[in-house]
Amino acid sequence: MHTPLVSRRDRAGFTFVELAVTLVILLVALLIFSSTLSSVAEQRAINRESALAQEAARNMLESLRSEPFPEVFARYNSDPADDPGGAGTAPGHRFAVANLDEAPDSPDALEGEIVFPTAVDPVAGLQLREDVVDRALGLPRDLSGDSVIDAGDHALDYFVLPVRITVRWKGRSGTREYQLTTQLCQWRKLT
Amino acid sequence: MRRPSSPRAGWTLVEMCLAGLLVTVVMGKAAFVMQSALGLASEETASMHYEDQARTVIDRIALAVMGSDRGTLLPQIEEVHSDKIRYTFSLGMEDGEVVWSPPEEICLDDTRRAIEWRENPGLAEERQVVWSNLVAPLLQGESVNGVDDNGNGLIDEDGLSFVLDGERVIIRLTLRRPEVNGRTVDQTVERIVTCRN
Repeated sequence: MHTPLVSRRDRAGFTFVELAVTLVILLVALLIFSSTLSSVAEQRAINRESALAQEAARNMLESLRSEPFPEVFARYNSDPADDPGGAGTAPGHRFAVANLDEAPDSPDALEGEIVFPTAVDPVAGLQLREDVVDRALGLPRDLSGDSVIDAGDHALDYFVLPVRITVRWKGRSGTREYQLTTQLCQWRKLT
Repeated sequence: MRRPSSPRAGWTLVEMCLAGLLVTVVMGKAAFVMQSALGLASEETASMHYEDQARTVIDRIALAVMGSDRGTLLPQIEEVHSDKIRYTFSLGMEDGEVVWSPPEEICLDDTRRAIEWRENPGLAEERQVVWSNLVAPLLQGESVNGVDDNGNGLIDEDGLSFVLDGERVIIRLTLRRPEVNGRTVDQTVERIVTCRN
């Protein structure tokens, strides 16, 4: 009777080394899969942080809109001395954002800031100025409607108020920032 | 004396045990990691889904309130929360006059789980649309005990609440949905709007 010749190598199953290699490959695949899932989760968290920051900025913008227009600058600038209801009675230029952690460089543990085109005069203090150079805010530009860009203080006679709302926070991927820039205008109700 | 190797020789019992142990450990760990990762991903997905839905709903509410006249909002009580708001909004100008819309209302329904938008509420020609039916019984962090549990200045507020604060309307919404494993997912969003008309 003739028996076909089969080598030992052909008959043997997996060797231990082969099994080990297979397991290593499996582990690497698993590692790649789990790191992908982790990245997706990370990205979602980052997106959520951005959504919270945007929402906070939009809410603050609506709060600015709800104020009497001539008082917006005085109520939300960084100088508490000019608050319409008395020094320190207005909300001021910094605000908290729920569910976000303040950035490490935050001076007061708050995340939000409202910025107007201002300059500090050594004598007069904080001024709303037309001659500030800030391209994002559209400055220099006429704020008082007299068609002249001057170096005076327009805190009491502005008819356009450029504003930047910044939310800066410590996120999962480091310190992050969201900025909303717009211009508020005097508007009146239709009667 | 050297033992002759048999051409049919496979693994020894020790090798078999070792390999079995290794495979079991690795596969067990792999299954655990997969299960954890998938569970986390599923939870995240559900959370994102409800957050998106909450934002969509509150955007619709905010847009409706934004277009309204502050003077026509009902109730007019400030600083007290309400689970409904009634308003009219400007449709434009005609012959120099502002044309106002029919009255509309956004409120919780009788089950307190659904947000309904109603046009001409209480009238024969009333129309209703349900914007969401996942509203939580109370806003996130709140419980019925006569105390402000979540620190927002309101006491025992519903899953949908409106607060009139000067020219601002503060809208808060919590959506809730029980998960398969019995856990619930709450998503809360807050929007501040100023009436434009």
